[in-house]
Amino acid sequence: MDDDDKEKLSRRQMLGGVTAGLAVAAIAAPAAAQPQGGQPQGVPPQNGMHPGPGTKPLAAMRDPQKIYAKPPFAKQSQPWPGLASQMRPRPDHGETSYRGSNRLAGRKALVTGGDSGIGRAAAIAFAREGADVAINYLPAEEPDAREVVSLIRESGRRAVAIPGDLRSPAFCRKLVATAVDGLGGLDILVSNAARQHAVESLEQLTDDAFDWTFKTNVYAPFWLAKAALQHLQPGSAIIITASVQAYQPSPNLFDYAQTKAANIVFAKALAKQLAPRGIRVNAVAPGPFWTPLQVCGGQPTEKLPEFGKDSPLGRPGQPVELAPVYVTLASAESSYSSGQVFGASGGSGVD
Amino acid sequence: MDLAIAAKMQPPQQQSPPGVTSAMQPKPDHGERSYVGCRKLAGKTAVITGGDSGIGRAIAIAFSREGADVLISYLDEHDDARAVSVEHNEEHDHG
Repeated sequence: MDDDDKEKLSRRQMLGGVTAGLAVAAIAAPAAAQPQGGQPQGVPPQNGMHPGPGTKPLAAMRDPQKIYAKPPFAKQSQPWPGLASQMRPRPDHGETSYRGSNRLAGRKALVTGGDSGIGRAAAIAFAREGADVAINYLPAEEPDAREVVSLIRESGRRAVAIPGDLRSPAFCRKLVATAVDGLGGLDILVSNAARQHAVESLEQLTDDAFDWTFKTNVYAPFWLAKAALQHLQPGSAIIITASVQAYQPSPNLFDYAQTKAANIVFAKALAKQLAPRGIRVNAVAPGPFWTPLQVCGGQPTEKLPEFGKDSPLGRPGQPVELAPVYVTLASAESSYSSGQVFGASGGSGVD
Repeated sequence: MDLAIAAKMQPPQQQSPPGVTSAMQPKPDHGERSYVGCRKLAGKTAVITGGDSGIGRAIAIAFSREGADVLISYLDEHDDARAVSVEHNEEHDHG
């Protein structure tokens, strides 16, 4: 019997045992689900968001089909790069709902594209989990960025706002240096900012457009990681926002989908390279999410009202629904997860 | 614990299936002392097969510290199962 057979046999035996004679033990939850009651040891509450014993549950039972807006959405279009504050409905980045529990106490994080969308949800969540956060965004996104800076500061954490275009390697290096100076170090790098612009045919896709997408989505994460590495201590984490497009490309996202496939391999390969240095690297692969990327050319304007309708949950994801994933991947709690791709596409498989 | 030291303390070993946690060297870490919950699963009820040991045990401990009531199923590893159960009863007493 080889190992494979043994494995199969033991699984069958286990299943048989369970069905033949069910052995069970019931465990009562502690009344205030904190060991020794109260806050995690040695970590003071950082803000009013921190739940104490007896507060309402962090996440009540909710039907994921029904908790957020469904298509059809109003027709809308914005010039690139778009503002969350101008979207109808406004995306939910967890501004009023995300409650932290010190899972990232004392960490220092840099999030590109942290002004809106998934990056904003991650930035808000990181701050409420106790991290100081630097966000990068384009100068035109200043109104969204100001809101995020306020939210980070309301959490009692340090916020550093660094506008600039990631297509410049010099800016990427300066971004990391400015974040490190402003935060006093760096433990978490989230390469999240992306360029996405739907183009129907290859003939219409210009070299400049192709270059814009690749510079922002593929080169910038490389430049940022390279610059950040000297500052990352063992226990640090790098997270890259990929996309379900890496596996199921839309015909009009020919360039974007390729960059997202590159992001997946960025995580897988760099995870292997950095494991001996104690640094984890993971990717998140979202499906359709309600973010400014979609309303300023990421989707054809006429298709936007139906955005997310085809997902099994019948709606697009809201950025806040990915916040816990970024927190978990950034946290030391997921210390054995590296080189992984976490999908979130509303019921469709990722690959 | 330093990983190099842990490797030295991981001698060749063999148990007959399904195996018990208490006989393992080193003892696996299921978060017994480290996992801190924050009511993310308050009021939920959960069933976990293989909840006496290994990954299922870590899930059972984490779920209950997040506020869930937990039912675990297992084969005949009653000592492991009792350990998971006791973990939470003690916690309940202190809480």
